[in-house]
Amino acid sequence: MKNLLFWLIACTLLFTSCDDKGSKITIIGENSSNIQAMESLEKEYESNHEVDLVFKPNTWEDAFNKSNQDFANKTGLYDIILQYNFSLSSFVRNDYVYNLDELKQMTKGGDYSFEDKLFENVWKEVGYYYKNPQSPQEGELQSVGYPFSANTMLLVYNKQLFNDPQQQQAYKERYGQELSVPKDMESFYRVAEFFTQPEKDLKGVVLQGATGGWLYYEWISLLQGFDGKVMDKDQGWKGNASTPILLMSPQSIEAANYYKSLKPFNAGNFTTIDAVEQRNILEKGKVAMGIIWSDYMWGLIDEGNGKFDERFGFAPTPGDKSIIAGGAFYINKQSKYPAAAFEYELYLMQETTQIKMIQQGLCSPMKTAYDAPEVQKVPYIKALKTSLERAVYMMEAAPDADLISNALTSALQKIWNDELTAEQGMQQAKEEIERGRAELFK
Amino acid sequence: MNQLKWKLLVICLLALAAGFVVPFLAHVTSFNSAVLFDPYNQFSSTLLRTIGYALVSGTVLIAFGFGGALLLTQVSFFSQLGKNLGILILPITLGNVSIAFICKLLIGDSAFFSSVVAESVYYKLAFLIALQLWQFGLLFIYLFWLNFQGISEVRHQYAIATKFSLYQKLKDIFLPHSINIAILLGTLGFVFSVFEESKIQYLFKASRGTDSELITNWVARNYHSALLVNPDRAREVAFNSGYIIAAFSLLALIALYLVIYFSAGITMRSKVYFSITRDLAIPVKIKKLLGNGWAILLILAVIVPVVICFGYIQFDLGQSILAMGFPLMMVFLATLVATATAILFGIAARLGWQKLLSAFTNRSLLFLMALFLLLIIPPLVILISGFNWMGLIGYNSEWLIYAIWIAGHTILSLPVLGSFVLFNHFRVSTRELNYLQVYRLHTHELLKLSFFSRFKAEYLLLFIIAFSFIWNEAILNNLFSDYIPSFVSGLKMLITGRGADYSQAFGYLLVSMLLAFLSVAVWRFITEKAAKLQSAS
Repeated sequence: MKNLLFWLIACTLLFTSCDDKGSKITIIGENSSNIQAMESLEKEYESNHEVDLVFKPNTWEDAFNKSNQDFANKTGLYDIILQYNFSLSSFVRNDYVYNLDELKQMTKGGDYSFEDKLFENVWKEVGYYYKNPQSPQEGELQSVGYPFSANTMLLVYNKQLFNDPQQQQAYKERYGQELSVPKDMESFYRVAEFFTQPEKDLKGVVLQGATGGWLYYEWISLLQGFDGKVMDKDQGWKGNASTPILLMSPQSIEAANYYKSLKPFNAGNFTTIDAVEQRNILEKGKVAMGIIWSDYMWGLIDEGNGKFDERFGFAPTPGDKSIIAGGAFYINKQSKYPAAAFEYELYLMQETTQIKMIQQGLCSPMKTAYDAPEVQKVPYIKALKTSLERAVYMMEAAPDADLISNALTSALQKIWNDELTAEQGMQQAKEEIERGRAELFK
Repeated sequence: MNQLKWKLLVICLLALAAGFVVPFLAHVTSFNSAVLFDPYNQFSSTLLRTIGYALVSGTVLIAFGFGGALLLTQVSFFSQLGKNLGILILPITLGNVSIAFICKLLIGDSAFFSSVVAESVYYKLAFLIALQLWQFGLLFIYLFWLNFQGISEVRHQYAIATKFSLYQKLKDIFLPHSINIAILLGTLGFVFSVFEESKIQYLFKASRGTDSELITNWVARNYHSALLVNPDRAREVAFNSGYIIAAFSLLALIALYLVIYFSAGITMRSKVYFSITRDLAIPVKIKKLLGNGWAILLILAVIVPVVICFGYIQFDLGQSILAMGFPLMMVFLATLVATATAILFGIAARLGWQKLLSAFTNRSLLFLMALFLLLIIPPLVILISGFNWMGLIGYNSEWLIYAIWIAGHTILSLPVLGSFVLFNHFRVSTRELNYLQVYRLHTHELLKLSFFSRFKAEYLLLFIIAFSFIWNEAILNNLFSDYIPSFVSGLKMLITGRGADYSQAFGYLLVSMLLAFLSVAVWRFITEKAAKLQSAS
């Protein structure tokens, strides 16, 4: 018995000691083209630094849950957390992550010249927060993290259909105009209507009607085309109990009616269509257009070995503005190697690195990287840059973000299914949001 | 070993299982029932819908399993067809996510599926029940049919000699012999339906707007919303709803037991015999033909969808096999430990409570309830408890994590595997145990005689089920997926979200199918061997 105990203890100690690998930086995030682009440069970084990079790509739900549980239980498993802007508020308010000033103090001689090259609007939306979260009324802001990606929504269209002379001719005969990629809500409707050709098994558009944020994101993107807003504020993560909800505005009602009016032209089973399903439908080539997330574009066109599916074209969403989304690098306060983690972050933020990663699918937050000759072959690069330059707040990112997304999704699905009128749906969503916010902010 | 020691062993194992959810149990002092009475959050309506669905699903599964097995009574276990019926275990070994993905590939683009999506929630739930029938119902038919093999030949001969009608056979032979297994399978069918998430989420994107959420969807959605405030609030949401879900599930489960127990009891005690079934004398040849036809139909029901699915997928196993090599080895290890523990548990329980656990009775109900308590705790709550435990234990060594992972699987699978063993051990009579103990047989001889030799095949089937259970498990595998790659998490990542890549997902699906076929082949080998032994004897 004593011998057995001795061997058990000895083995445990041996196994424990075997795991000590020095500076190991663990990065968790949603499995996407962004984290895959970072992984593609893993060896390059490790060969020049005494650091072991360990990537933990997960589904969004798992990455979100695991990082939050890691913070809450103070287990310090993940050094760098790649999360989207709706997590920013929680991470800062609960004091889970370092801010940039703290990190800069830890790291001497860092090159921060890239900061001027970032899309300022994106950085302010995904990486800034109140300096004193307990007293937001003071208004002073701090930078918490650099953006790892700059996302927005784009219009994707089927080039084969748009370039078909017969279709162009038919469009001109029917509408008296040249067939072109829609730039406003009116032409978007017209083109969707035109390409709905049952005899050819064609549909005009494929909308994302699924729960989980998909419907909400898409609808607010269209709401933006009507100059509408969900709330009267200038940053997604701002807001308090008294921030006005604008869902009963004429723009919101019009956007809801407009969305519903696209029903006859829509492909797929609406309420089951998320971004992956939308991509699957687009790939079949029987749909003219879709509003697609920028970080889903790489998966749509990438054929490996630097080749792209040339069937698709990309343009900014209808209207004169785009929505800002994306995420930031957050460095865990429980990290054993915050300085090493920040150094790695700085490497990723350099322009040369950003250019390499764009060619692997990154939606870069660096404006100047989009002008590099190497990235011009990426089919969506111009549309993405234009969209990011004109992007403004549209997506909620405060603690009430999910509440708003759920309320609007529920109302819009009911409007789509003729259970509610646009007015009733918007009223219902507004009431639910107000009730929930009163509870959240009390 | 005397009875007390066996009892202590069982209690220790149960305490270990309960220990896993201590963070959840300890939180009960802060329980707030407000969620149940909030008129706006739709918790109550979602819970009622889920419980109702699970009760219907559990009942349909049992009826389908029992009825389907009755139609197979003419098929001998040792015939070629009987041995091939082992393929009915294939669907369950595929797991929820693979089945949802296969379903999507096969009918996701069909007009039929679109019409189900467009209709009310009842159509979606009916569709889910149909999927449950394929996943669990076919296995249930097989298990009921295997159970029928234990009916003594004397009874069958008596029934023939006294010209039993079909109804008499059902009432006096098959029903009394099936009550225990019906209770067990009913429980599993109910629990798997209450906590159904993957299939409804992946296929229908369950939502409030379409009134199609089940309770797991509700909890997950509200938990994620609350995480935007902070993890403590999120935990409160999950735990508070968890207590209510567990309580309602327990009540519903008791109701289901009572329905099965009393309806079977009333039927068995009834003196009423329907003469029509006596007049309905079907010639043996026709009976055999019908039985064989039904067996072939069942086999085709398993094979045809899988074969059609092969037409959709690209055969590229390379990377998937490499990625799955390590987890496969770990699952194999965990299965060994979990199966051994479940067998030990089943033996200890049978020897510790020789009278109480000799059959399913009102008295043994409490014991079984204790065993099933872990099954009625929502998976998300168990996941959060796991995070809490790991917060205390820490992730300092990968070897420690591997050990915890194996121990965790052993504990979490104990209610299902342990109850399977326990129900099989009802076949060891108390008289037999007393007899062997009077002769002061050494413990290992007693174990060999009464358990290991007799239940060899059942234990092997248990191993196969345990392997599939652990391979497709979504809680622990998710919790530790950063250390031990999880098949379920990996496949989910490849069919949903930004990293979705169907070409890679096909590789995962192929691995899953290969494992399923391997399980069937192993079981076929075992039955073949048993047949040879039978013919030799």
